[in-house]
Amino acid sequence: MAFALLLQSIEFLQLRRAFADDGVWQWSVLKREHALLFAPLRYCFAVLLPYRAFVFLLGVQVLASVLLGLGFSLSAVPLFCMQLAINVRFRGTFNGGSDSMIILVLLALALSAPFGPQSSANLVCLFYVAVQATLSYFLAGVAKLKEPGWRSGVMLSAFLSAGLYVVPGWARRLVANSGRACWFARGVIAFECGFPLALLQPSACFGFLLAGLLFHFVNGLVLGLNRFLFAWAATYPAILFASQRLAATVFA
Amino acid sequence: MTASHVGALVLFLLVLAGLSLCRGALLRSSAWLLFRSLFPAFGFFESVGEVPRLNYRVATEDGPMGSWLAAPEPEERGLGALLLNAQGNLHLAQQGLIERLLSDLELKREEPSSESVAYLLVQRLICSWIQQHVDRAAPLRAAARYQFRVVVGSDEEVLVSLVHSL
Repeated sequence: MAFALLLQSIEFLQLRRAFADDGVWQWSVLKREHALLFAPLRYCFAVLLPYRAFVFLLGVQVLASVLLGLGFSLSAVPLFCMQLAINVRFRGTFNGGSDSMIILVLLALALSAPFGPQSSANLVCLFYVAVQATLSYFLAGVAKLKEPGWRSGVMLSAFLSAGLYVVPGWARRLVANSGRACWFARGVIAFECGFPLALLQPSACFGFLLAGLLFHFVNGLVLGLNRFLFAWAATYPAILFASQRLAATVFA
Repeated sequence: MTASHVGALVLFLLVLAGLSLCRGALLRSSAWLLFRSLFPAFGFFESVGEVPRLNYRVATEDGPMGSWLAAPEPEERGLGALLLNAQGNLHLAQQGLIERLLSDLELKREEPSSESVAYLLVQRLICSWIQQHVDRAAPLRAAARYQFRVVVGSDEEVLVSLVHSL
């Protein structure tokens, strides 16, 4: 998680022109929506989110994520608050699903940080992350399974050529063949729909997590979704823990 | 796993179920939308609709509007983008602005107006593109007014903006 946050902060700092006072995400435009917020929250955001303060906040996030990586678990609390503020500045999220997953893991880390590793709070937080990560694969898989276009591979080709993502030529050529596209699409559906087995069966868990890493690595290469790789990888220790704990207690 | 652990887990699952039930209602409110990262939605790519695209055109102070121009092409990625992909993620966030503008208009059933934050952000995006192009294309140097539109498929217009001054 620390590495994911570090990379995210560096990317934002590289993009700072886009949210500067003459950039696209100009604070004077964005703050109009904050009029609807509860006054203390509005005040906090008015202090934290104008351009200069926001760049400073990103610098603090770099430091806090290094501290988290070094094992200072309490730094998850300010990191959660900063991450929420960053998402609020971009009207909810900057990069959709990966921002939600990062917030989810940080929430669990922040809530469990003040308690010991053997506490109920820690256990619930680990299960929270494991269940949410499993659901993220399972729900995406079921949604695809319901679509005949996904089952036949047509949607995979359509998706890669829709123009939303910058897809390398080799990836487009790979799915240009309808037979190959069909098998790739079915492979993804099988992996996503079968993911709950990772929680139920520790021996299958390692396999699913390796397949998950490969899945996100390929998504990073093909679609440029690099943030997803690190955000989801951050949930894998919790999935592994939950799988082993369930096997040792509930299914024993 | 003790009874208190099981109790805490059951409580947590009930909270999750409750949140997912009221998610739709909460996210119709503008204020809650700012906090939507707290309400995960993981139905990725369940359907592949037509991707809305942004076009723009420019004119001199009193001249006619030019032809529609497409958005600048995003750069190809190298292997390093697996670690840092700032430009790629910026491109996706810009696409998110267009989709958010359409969904805001649909939800609020409003006409496109300069009062809406989503509309203003897309306007700023267009201005930044014009600025980028001015450095390269001579006809844009004299641009004084501009207009943008959102199209899907083979240039089917879903939104045409007002004409704005640069």
